[in-house]
Amino acid sequence: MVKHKMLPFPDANVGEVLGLVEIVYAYKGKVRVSFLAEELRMDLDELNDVIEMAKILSLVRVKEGSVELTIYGESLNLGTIDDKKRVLRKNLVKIEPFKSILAIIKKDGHAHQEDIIRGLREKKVVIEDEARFHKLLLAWGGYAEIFEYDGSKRVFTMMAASHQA
Amino acid sequence: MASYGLDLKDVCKRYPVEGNVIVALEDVSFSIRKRESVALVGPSGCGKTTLIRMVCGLEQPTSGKIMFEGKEVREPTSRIMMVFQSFAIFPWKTVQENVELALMDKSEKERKAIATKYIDLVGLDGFENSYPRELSGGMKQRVGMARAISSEPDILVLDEPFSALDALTANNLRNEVIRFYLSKKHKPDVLLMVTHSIDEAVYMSSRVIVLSRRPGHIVADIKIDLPFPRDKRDPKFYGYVDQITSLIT
Repeated sequence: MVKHKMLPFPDANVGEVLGLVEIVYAYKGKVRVSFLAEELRMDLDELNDVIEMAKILSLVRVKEGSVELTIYGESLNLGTIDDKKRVLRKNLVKIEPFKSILAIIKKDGHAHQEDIIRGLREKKVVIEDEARFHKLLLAWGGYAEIFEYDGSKRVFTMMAASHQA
Repeated sequence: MASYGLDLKDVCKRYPVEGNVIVALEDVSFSIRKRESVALVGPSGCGKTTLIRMVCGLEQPTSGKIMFEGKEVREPTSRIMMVFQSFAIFPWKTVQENVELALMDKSEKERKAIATKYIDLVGLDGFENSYPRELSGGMKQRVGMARAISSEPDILVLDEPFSALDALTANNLRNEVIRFYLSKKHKPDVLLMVTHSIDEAVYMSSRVIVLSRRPGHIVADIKIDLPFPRDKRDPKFYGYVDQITSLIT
């Protein structure tokens, strides 16, 4: 059996992660996960995906049932949209599968959506729901201005900002 | 004397339904001045959405007047723009094309430049050529906002703008709208929002207007005397929420 080396990132959108960071900040930087789930009337599994993504991006840490902001999480709250993008970009380009995706796009400066998925699968990344994966990839990479996307050609192109990340 | 703002005077709305007349709104009068952020709240069916559709010129009052800067609002105008609950963006058009729709009175070159500026301002730089089906709900609503603010309206009307979003994304967009409005760097001068969430109304507004059950009329007009950004754990915040809740239930 093939051993998967990497998994795609958790099923959480940019707005959810930014919203989480803002709420934790409003609770002075630390709040119990169970309280948050109740307060937001969110399924704990769903909230865990958002927390997991925020953890991967080094925005929060979870300790003894509480979620707390890291220095990156705090800085995310204080900045403009451009500052937020900069923090996310800086952290996203260091983690998988973005690192691999960037390598694929960087080769020619652009890549077709299918080439990205093929390239990731060659690296044993599991992508069960391609449409969902595409949406999340576009949301994160697009919002952080790592790449731009042409929906009619389904092509991702590197953005200048990502070179400075 | 010239009036600089929005003035509603004795606004009524009646609908004929199967030989009967339904009175949706009765004698609604209020004024909004520059730099006010106003929320309209009330029980379901109290006519809040009808009221803001009339403010936007999408419907006409049966009697009474809606005046903007001294002129009666009789049709949609680019000076009063609306953000819809359901995003109201065209799935077959790209993000850029959807935003440009609000700018059809400009030349192609101007349209492109202005749309690009506002797409960037709402954080969607890089998504210009994406289609709505590829975007999350939060991103779609950002497109709706970019389109509404691209014509630099004096009044931005928001019809339950976050109710179709998950709790966290809604929280994020609420904060971004407030930050954008408070920055005073751009139009609009006024936010007028309909919401069923009293918490949201108190969080985002300098004034909350409470409407009664049908026929909707004003039962209270409450100034929210709390600094921005608001702290939902502040006892004063909950004082306002309780006061408004008791007026509705």
